[in-house]
Amino acid sequence: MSESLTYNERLISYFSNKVQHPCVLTLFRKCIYLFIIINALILLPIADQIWSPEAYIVHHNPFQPKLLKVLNIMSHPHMNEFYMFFIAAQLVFSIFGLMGKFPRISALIVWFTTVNLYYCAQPLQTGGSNLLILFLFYMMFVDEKAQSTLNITITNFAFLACKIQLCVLYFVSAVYKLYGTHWLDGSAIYYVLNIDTYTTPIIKNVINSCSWLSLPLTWFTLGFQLLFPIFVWIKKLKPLTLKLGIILHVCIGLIMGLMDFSVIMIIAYVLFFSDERSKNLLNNFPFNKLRSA
Amino acid sequence: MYGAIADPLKKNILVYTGLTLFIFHFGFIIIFCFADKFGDSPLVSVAGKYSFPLFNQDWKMFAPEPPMKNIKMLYSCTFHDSIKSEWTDPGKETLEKFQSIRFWNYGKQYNIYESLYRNYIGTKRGDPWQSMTNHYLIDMAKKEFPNKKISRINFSFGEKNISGIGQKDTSSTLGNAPWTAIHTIILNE
Repeated sequence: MSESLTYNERLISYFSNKVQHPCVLTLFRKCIYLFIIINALILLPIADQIWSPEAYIVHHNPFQPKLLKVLNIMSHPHMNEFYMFFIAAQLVFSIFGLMGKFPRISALIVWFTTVNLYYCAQPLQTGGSNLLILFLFYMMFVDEKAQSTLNITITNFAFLACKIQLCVLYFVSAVYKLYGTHWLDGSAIYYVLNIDTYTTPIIKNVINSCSWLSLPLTWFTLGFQLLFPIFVWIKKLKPLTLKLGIILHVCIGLIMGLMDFSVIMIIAYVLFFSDERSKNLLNNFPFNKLRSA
Repeated sequence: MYGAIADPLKKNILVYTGLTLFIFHFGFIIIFCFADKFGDSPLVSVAGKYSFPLFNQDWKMFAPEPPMKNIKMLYSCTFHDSIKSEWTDPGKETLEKFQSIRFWNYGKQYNIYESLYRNYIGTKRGDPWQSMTNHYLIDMAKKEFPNKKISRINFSFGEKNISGIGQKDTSSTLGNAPWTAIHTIILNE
């Protein structure tokens, strides 16, 4: 029956007949919210240094675009006095989102509060938080229990958008690395691991005494970023690609200390899991019993 | 009967509208990511208006050319009795903690130190970042010397380039003396 369908019919049916990979979407949403909760709790003890009126960060950016002036209400005069309100709202609605309550309202409020907290502390942000904001935006359109054709179609496009966004990220960053000199000559990792912020004394000693390691590590990173957007769509290569990516990001997190970036990137890999695997993981997810099971 | 005809049409319209929006969305994002490669094309301007700031994926965050130097900020206090303290690096302790514990907020604390350094160096006199650095150093000095009256804080910045592969002196030791201009904060206490 399905063989007799034309390409157009298969396309229409893929996007509009049912929500694709609902368990993947639920797992992805829960991982994102759990990350936001943990990250907010980790930053809470130094929240006054980052967002309060007494912070060590300049919150107001006179050159911010008009849309941000409207959205980023925390950067308005005196609004940073209410920074705890934004953190609390982010936490409360992330918990709601984690529990599957008010999915779209939770997604909207978490996105809004995260955008505010992000832009008020922009000098401290990593690519991970940038990607998180984009994911949160797409999550506003996701409803894995959608019944109407309109909702199903929107959800499927939002799901695909998250996947494409990750591929765009790797592609753009790989192409820009090709324009630089240190990624091509294989010395980038050597320099990065000599920067105090991205190293530890032991790692620095290792890279300085075995500087030849820099070339394979640099080229592996570059090659991985270039090939990820292709290999992740090829069924046979997907598992290996995801495993290598997880190893790469665990190393970036532990060695370079970019934990938030690495965790978000690894969470993003959930988007490429199968629905069965996601269902198994969901059954073991903290605070969760899969409702649909 | 009518429903059966209308439903495929509705699905077609929905999916093709979605696909069109999808292509425009990611098309603009990619064009804006490569804005500096496209030059002053009107397409870049449209893509920029659409993508920035909501869908901006700042490539500098993902594809940085590796930093080539280590940085350091030092301060020294002069107390009311004219005694001067040693030069102290306010980020040293945080950096050491960050290097040994990755699962806490020491990284962000060190990022604050780095952003103050970078923005102080990169901005002109009177910029809010300059007074922010002063505010940070006053707080650090008061924390370091809680029982002393501070009348003046001198501070200075240092950078050290990382030696190339195979070259000697790759350590990040910047020494303990001030290197360039010394800036001063006078406290009216």
